[in-house]
Amino acid sequence: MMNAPTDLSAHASGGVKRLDHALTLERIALSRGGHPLFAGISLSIVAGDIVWIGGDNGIGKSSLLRLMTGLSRADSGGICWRIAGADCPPHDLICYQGHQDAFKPNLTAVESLEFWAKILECTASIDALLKTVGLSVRANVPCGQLSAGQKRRLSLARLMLSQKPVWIMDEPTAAMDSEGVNLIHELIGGHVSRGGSAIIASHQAPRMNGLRTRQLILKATS
Amino acid sequence: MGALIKRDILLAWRSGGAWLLGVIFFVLFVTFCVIAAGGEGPQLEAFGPAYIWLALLFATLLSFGDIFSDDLNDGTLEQLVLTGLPPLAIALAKWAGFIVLTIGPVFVLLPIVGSMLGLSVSRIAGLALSAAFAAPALAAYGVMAGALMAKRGKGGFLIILISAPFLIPVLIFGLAAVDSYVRFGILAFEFRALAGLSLIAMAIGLPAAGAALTANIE
Amino acid sequence: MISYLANPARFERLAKYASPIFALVSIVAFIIGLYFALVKSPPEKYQGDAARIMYVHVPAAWCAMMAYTALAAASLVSFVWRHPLADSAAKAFALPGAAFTFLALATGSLWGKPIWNTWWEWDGRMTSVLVLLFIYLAYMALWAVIEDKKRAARLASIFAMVGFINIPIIKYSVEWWNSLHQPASISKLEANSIYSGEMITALLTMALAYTCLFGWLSINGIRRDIAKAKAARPTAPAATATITEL
Repeated sequence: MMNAPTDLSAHASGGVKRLDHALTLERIALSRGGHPLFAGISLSIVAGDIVWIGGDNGIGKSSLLRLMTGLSRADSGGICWRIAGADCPPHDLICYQGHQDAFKPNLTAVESLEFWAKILECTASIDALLKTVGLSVRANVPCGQLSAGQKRRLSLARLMLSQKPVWIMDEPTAAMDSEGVNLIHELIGGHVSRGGSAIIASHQAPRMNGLRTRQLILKATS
Repeated sequence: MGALIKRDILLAWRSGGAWLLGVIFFVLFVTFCVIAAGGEGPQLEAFGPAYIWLALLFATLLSFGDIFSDDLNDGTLEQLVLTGLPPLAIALAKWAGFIVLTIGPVFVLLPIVGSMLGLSVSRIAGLALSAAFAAPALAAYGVMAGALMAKRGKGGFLIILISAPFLIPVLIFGLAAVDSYVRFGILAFEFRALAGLSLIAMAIGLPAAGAALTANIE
Repeated sequence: MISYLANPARFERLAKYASPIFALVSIVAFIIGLYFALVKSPPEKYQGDAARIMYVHVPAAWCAMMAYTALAAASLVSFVWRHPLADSAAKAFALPGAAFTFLALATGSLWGKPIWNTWWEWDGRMTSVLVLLFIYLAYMALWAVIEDKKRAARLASIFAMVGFINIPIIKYSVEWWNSLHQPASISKLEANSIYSGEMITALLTMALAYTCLFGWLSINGIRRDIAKAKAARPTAPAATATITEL
């Protein structure tokens, strides 16, 4: 059980305005390499929701998350991304932290975030973001020299930089020490309590005080 | 989109010379051709532009694999698409970057290599102009082939097989333009043909690249 | 008609009858066509009997272009509507099309030697037909090399559509550049004056023969794909999802 989340990231990311948004999956089916992964999955996420996705390795958690980001297409069924009741393209709604960190080894942490800030057309303070994820000390280190856990923290910073309402995270706590795990849970809690929502694939599913939390478990048939 | 181009230039600058491999190959290839042809005489004057054009073609062909494979394989491409940047804009940015980073250095060395081969000034000028008019086509088909093969690592021979059919007309007109320039200057028909080829290449190659990127991300 | 055929089961039922019909018509057309080509039609005015290779060469070139047009059209359908049958069709069209292209190039070469005294000339039409052959080969390579066949289908369809730009270049290359190749010879106005009735019959019959051969090969290719898909009919999904409130 977690305490009420502190408003740690509000200052850094400028906060996500309370945006009425919804992400809906209807009877989604997906196959990979000719073998069907899952079928008939329906899920509805609105502002203030947290969904933890669990299941064994290789069962399709990552594939399901990628469907929600709009990067892949389902074989059948439909996904809707909506802001204020109106359909919108997925990139208006979601930001994604996948298995890959997507940082160039020859760019420093600050340069990387500045690049993404320019692409996202966002004016948040990079220094404050780095402070939030605990990377101020390593700000001018090339990403190739950052550890796996530090790169994960940097991708968290990018997540907050995007200021999108829905966070889709694939095993965010992998390669993180316990301090990092706490940080992640705090940031997620803060984000959701400010009106965002989060869908996280993770083996842990801590309950967060006062937040509507659900768990979707993918289990192998047979 | 401009941010992407600038980032690519910065990365190339910091890559410790890896970006110069194309232009080094260019010089090496011309050297091999000259040696194989016997080194001196009227042969060189006649075939010089052909060697240089071939070297340009191969130097660019061998760089096609690098255009997208890094960004696709480390997840950057997905993140770019997720920011709302249209795949076509990504292709366009890579096209511009390719012209600056790969064709650019070759273009700079062109006059030097040309005079090393003993070509006349007007033929060198014709070479430079034909390369300049053809560059958009080379880059566009390269971006298309690179996008199609991005997921298969560097793609190897397949990338060359895919881009070769479209580059054949470019090569034909590019070479013809060099000789025509000597006689007709820039009004030669071949330059207009090259310009047309370049426009067509961009019109069909870049959207195809965008579609291929989307397909590869899936 | 296309949407009617799009159902694989319906296609299979139709194909079972269409396939042998195509084969039969093709054989008959070949017999008639070759008879006209080799026996009935008069020797050409200037080239004599050597010109008879035209009856193999010209229809092959027509069919090579027609096959690619069909391939590009199937690729368009595959890209827009993501229909697996369109994928199979495009894939099936490739090898026969490439074979026709090669045949056209080879017979063109054989024809060229006695008439123009050269095996090859880099004029607009010959070069662009060679480019067509390379496009076919690259297309087939895409299918063969990419392991994920769904992605292969998508990427191949994109490539095929881009390659279509070559077809108008082939068609108009003879008009744009005057060179060795004679300008397109079958047009309604000239047909009666330059070519005798037998020659046209021979050409059209051979074209029909080639087309039916192409149809037969393609239909069987598609049927093979359908059978393979049926055999690999997937079982139940591997995972189910349960959602609980925490």
